[in-house]
Amino acid sequence: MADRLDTALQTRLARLADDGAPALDDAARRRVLEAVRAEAPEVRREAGLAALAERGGPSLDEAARARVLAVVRGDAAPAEVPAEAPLDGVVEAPAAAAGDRPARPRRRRWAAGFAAALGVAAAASALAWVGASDGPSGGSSADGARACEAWAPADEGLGRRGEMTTVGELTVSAPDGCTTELSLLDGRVDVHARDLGGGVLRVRAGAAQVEVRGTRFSVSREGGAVAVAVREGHVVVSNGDEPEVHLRGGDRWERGGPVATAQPPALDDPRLASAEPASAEPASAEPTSAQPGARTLVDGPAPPVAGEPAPRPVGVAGAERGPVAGRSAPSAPEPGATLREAERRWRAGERDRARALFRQVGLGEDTLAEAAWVRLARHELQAGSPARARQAARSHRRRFPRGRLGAEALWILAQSARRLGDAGGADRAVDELRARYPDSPQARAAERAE
Amino acid sequence: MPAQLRLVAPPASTEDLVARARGGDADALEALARQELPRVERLLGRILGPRSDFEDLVQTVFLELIKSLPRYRGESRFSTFVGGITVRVARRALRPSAYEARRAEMPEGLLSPDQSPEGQARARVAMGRLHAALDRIAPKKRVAFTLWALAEMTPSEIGELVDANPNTVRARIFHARQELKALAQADPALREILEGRDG
Repeated sequence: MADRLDTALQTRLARLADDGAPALDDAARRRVLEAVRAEAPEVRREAGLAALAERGGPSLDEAARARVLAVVRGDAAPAEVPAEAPLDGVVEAPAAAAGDRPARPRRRRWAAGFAAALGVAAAASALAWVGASDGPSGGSSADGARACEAWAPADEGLGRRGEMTTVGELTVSAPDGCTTELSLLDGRVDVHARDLGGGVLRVRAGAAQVEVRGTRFSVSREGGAVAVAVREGHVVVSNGDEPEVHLRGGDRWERGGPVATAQPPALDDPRLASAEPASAEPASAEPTSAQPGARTLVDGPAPPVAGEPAPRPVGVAGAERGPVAGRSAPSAPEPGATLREAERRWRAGERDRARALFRQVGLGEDTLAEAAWVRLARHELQAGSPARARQAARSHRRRFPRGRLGAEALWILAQSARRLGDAGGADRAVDELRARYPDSPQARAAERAE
Repeated sequence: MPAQLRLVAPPASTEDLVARARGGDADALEALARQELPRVERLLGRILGPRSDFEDLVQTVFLELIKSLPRYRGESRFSTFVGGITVRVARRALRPSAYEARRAEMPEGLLSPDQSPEGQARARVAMGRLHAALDRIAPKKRVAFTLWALAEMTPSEIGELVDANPNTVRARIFHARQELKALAQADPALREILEGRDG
């Protein structure tokens, strides 16, 4: 039959198709690629769970796996994942202060978790590794038998684990289910990790390697100089072949000269306010105050006084470009102003910057934060990025499961899922919308759509 | 020192990219998508013709690709794997419920800017008419025919994408062509397209 295929017809129609078939323009291609990148956290979650299942011990059956996925994604309504769900022995509670954690912990109830915040300024030269592992008391993160909760940061944050704001270039990889590595190529990343669940978070930005055992801290870089300032908790710093140095609350570590911007994160940072301090250290409004006995370890000729506040409060490299720059400074913009700026940037076509600003506002705990996620989701959907829209709507659902804007978030979730061809996800969102907000305009719109 | 940034080098091979992408490496995912995007566009565009949701469908292909990555074992070429997903997405989009609502005039921006205005207009009309005729052909035959005629693939290549024997593909192409010819009897414009007098 092959010879009966008219090759002349083939040639003719192929030429016609070359001239007349649709093709994406550059902007559309960029949107597609952005959507692909936006899925990376989902892949990491899946990969993390797969690694978890393969590490020996009890294996997940399909139902349990579905429940775990629902928990990790934050899709499941509380009723869908009862506290007695048989996750025990498969996903262990984090080692520290997690014994009473329910099977499906709510973000705001992770009071026992630790809070870690870091600001990394990278003009980009040496490599710095920042790792955070479980609990304020320190964890046996090197223990191969450790069962950590699979986790991975989302683009707009750390998923259930906390929040992350990036300005600049950042790549994320997950070598295994317990480790997530952030490689900051340029700019700045702020991480507020409330609870790593036994996992490890590394931020690669310079030559030093900092392993953190649960704390709030900051890493700053100015040229070739790197500094680590610990607010509270426990940090282990290693730099090349140097022996490890353990830092406690109030300690500072510097290499390559003093870094004026090095200071621990402020306790009045609104993003840290939602999580309890990782240690029993009394909260201080003074962001650079040191604990008694605090030390400063430097290799320069004129080491600063132990625990001395940084000479300059802000000015981290790249700070002027980032919405999170100078967040410990008293002149930080009001969330309302930031939200307006995000809207303005979006309208101006500065999408990446606008996203960062929306996410920054979304780190809060009030209605404004809710609105930021919903607005971002709505913008993404209207801009033809359903994957990003879904991600933002999911962030809203995770952070504000009983929020005032839940109906709008669910409606966007349904629409974005439908546009992505995820009929099941769309149906679940609509079902939840009807159940929770039966009298909402969005529920009525869902009725009309069917 | 800043030169050390160059250590973040692009991966060397598709296999490497796939391995990294499975771990959730956003760069690897993007690199894979960037590598496969032209082919996905080409296949989708030729199977489906002009659609208002063309961009969404391209995006859907990659989202399904991401979901399917764990199943890719390297037993076939990665491009074949992606092509198979593309065809599945296209076939799903051809279902009447999904199709009628999204059938649309081709937006200006979706056409290649390299073409002359006259050529664009002529090709657009011809492709529209051809796809209108293809709407009346069963999806399996339509997919086989469009991949053969419009994407210039061989029956063997098509067979890999649609998981069918090459002879089956040949039969589908043959019958699709017969049905088109029958339709062309009552449609001079379609006949011109098929017989090469479309200018």
